[in-house]
Amino acid sequence: MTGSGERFDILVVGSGHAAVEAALAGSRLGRSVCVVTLDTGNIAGMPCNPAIGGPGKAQIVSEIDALGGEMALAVDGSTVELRVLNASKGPAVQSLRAQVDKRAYARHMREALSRAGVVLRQGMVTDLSVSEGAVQGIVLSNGDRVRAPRVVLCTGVYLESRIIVGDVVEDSGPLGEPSAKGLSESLKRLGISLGRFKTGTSPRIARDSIHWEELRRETGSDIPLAFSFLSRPRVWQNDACYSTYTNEETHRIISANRHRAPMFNGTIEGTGPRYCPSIEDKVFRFAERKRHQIFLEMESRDSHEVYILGLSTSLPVDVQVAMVHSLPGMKDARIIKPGYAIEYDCIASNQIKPSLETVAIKGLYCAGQINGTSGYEEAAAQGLIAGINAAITLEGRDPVVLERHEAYIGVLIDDLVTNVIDEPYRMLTSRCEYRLLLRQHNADQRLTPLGRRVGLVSDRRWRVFQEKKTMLDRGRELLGTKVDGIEVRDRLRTPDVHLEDFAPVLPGLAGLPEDIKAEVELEAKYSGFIKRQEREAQRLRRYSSKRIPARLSPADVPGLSREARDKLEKYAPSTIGRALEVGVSPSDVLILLAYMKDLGARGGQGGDG
Amino acid sequence: MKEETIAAIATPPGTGGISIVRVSGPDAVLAAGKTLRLRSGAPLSSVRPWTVRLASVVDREGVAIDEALVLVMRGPRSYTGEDLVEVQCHGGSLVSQKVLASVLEAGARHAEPGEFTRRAFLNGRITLEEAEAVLEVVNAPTEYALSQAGRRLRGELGARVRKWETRLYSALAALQASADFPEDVDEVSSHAMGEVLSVHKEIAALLDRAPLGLALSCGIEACLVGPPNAGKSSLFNALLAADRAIVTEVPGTTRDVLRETTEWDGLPVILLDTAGLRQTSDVVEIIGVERAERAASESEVIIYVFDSALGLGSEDRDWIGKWLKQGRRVLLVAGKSDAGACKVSESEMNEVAGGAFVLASAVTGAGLEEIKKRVTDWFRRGQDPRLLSPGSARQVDCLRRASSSLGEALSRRSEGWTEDVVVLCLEEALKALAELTGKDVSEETLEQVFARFCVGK
Repeated sequence: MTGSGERFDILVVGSGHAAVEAALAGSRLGRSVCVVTLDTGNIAGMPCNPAIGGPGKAQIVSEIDALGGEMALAVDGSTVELRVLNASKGPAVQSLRAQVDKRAYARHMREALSRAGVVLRQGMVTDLSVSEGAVQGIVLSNGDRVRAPRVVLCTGVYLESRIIVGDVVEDSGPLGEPSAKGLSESLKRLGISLGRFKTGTSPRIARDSIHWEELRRETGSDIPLAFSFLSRPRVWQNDACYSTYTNEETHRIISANRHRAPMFNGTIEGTGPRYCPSIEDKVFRFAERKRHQIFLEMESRDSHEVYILGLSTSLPVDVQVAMVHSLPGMKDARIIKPGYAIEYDCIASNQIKPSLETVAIKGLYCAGQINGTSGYEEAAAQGLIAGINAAITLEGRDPVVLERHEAYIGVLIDDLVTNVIDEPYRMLTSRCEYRLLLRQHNADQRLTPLGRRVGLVSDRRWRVFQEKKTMLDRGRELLGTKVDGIEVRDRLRTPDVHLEDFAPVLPGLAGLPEDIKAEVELEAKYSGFIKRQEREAQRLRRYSSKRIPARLSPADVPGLSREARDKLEKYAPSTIGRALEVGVSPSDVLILLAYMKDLGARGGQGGDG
Repeated sequence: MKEETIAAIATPPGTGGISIVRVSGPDAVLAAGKTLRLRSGAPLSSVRPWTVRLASVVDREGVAIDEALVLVMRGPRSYTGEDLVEVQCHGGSLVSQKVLASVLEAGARHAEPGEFTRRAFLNGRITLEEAEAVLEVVNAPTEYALSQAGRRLRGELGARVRKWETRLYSALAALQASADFPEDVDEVSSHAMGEVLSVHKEIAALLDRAPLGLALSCGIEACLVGPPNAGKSSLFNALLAADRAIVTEVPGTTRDVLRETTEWDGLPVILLDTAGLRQTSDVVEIIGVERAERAASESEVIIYVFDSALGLGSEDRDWIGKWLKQGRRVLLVAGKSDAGACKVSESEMNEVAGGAFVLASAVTGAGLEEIKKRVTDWFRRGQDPRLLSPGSARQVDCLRRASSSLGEALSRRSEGWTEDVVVLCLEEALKALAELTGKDVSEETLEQVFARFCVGK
């Protein structure tokens, strides 16, 4: 073992989407940061689909942007097709989705790291050094030690990973990289319990082997759009996405090879995501469906590889070939890389705090797939929060914790720390109670002031934010104009009246940008529903801020379930809200409230707080 | 912290055959033991649980004051889930009061209303819905009311609500899936909305039964009002088939409000008799008139009685008009119909009372059955009182909110609002239903439920 004596403020293990945001946040907040990764050539890679956004995920990307993170800017710098999903289903679920050039995206992130002064280092982390319950640094497989008071683990799918294609099983990471060995054992020794998840991807096809004319072209939106609040909206259409459907022949091939599917013959032990099922899973589970839609997406201008969205599989290579050849336009298709399933270790996520620091070890943070999530966006959000908190707690500041009614990121982290996730966690709009409040387009209005306080929001972003705020206020004022005795904002409160209808009588409208008009119109149209959600959020806050007296001993509360008692003892929640968050059931909370009331009546200093 | 031991007399006050003192809590046996002497001389703690023993009740000086049967139950297998002692002493308020006093002296605290049942709930012996039903069973004034309460005690309402929840969740999931997986999920919303519509109809059907359900569990308050000497008290007695109110020829005989409980067509009715409404300078009568007015304004049915022979004055019309305008149920009764033809024509009465009028005589009994039928019909609405109905204002409130949210989901949808708004309404409906079954809880719910209990239950 060498004592190189190297020392940083923050060490980030891994170089995927969580790691990149964590490293950038730490570094931009003035900390020395080192990224340690298996392959410094693989930064912010996209081993699955070359796309960012979609329902629930797009909102996260905008929130990262609003707080001063990098993801949205990287998307805007590498988009090939950009469209709005759920345009007709309402503002709560409307979401951008960008198909990106994955190599351009990675380049953007590499440059950002370099500009921020983040040190890159290749190596395999096999152990953590911990003293008196606090992390001190890492140990590499060659015995090198690097010291730091903060370590952020962003190990993705690499921990003790196995790749499975049919009956071929290899200890390996996604791109032929090695699997990360040793760190799992180290975490277990430190008292952190591990789970095992599974995910997968689809085969990659050579671009020139596809008969494109037999497929349907999918073009991006005609309306100029952008992910970042700092970017100028643009139309992105690059002839890079096509769609078609599986057919009965495809399904027959899959059914005939069921016994060879690792998903079903016992080869795969890890739990896969229900929300991202493999094609064999879909064919077996939805047997009544005759076809499934699939999309073909070009991965990069500099690459021949085409990604097939909707055809994730771990069937043997010969079955994959037959399956692909059965698709329209693909009878001559060449598979460059077969689809595969990958199993990996993650930690049971209820072992982390809302700050993303582990409960067991001070200074040790976890972000991304190690916490049981799936998706680039979910990972990046956690990386950003872990990076911020690793940095600001070094100055003795309180960690940033977002609440469920403030951000999708709050919902994500709250779900992680409160539940034991039993399958890879993907963000969905339905997971968010206050989705009408947490729209993609108001993420800056919700979070940029917080980002500014934290110190991640640049002067330029702050200026753009304030200019937009002024415009919004001007727009809102305009809606107060009375037309035939009724304010425009009240006239807008029905689905078939639009702001444009008032253009002749509201000359001020012409001076407002399109996105501002759209935002204030939406605020007015949905104001009744928005107010209802605000009231509900407030009611919940009041109820959940009720204090649980410290002298209350869970063992003395009659009628509590054993589970509730255990949770109350383990987490010692200070409020009713916290108790609910750590998973105490509502009926147990009711019992607790009644007991607190009795306690108050008896002991003078009551449970009312 | 140790739970306190509580005690109370569980039987109603007054003289009776036996009276039961109930003691519950960790020291129940100890506290009860101090005032009980078993024949064998053994301590109470040695008694085998769930067996009945004879004991003497002694006061502080050791003087025997009564003989009692004693039943010891050990927690958690008792009503409250704690150690529970029941002492059956001879009826008579003084004896049971003395037994209670000695138990309290031995360290127990007097129980609050509903505290035994509250402990049963807190100790996981019963659910919130069952706790409510316990109260209803206790208070059930008629057989139909009892069978309703029994249905809810067995959890029938909760089971029905849970079925609705399952169906609404599947509709919600379909709508949300189409938003979360726009590429994978085809249009599903018309089927989902069909399900919402059918649940909405079923809840509406149950809500139609809410007046009946509330009438069964709380009783219908019906108040006799009208000018002095119109025959209200005679009608009161005749409707009760009892000589309850003093009846004289002197106008203004009735001063205070009289209340009696009776049963009409299986529904519990609380009938009120009041002072005649008139301008007067008699101080006592002025107060009586005020009370009459208040009683009328607080009751669910106003039975306005006038003298057939005298007809309706402008004051009468004013009163009736005012109440009808407030949306009150007013039944106009032409009293003393045996004394001759009514001065007011039927078409006029029809007009004044919005169709609800009866000619009646306390002397011949004419019209009495019609009065009862008119009153109960307002609550029955042609419904079978044996079918399940909601039994508390709290349950009705939750159902109403669920119904209005579902109605809104349907109307927003047809008005062309986006699906996210429809989803919001469905989520609100599900929240209201969760509150009904106690899954979604608040302290207010808890207080509402237990505040209505009497001491000793």
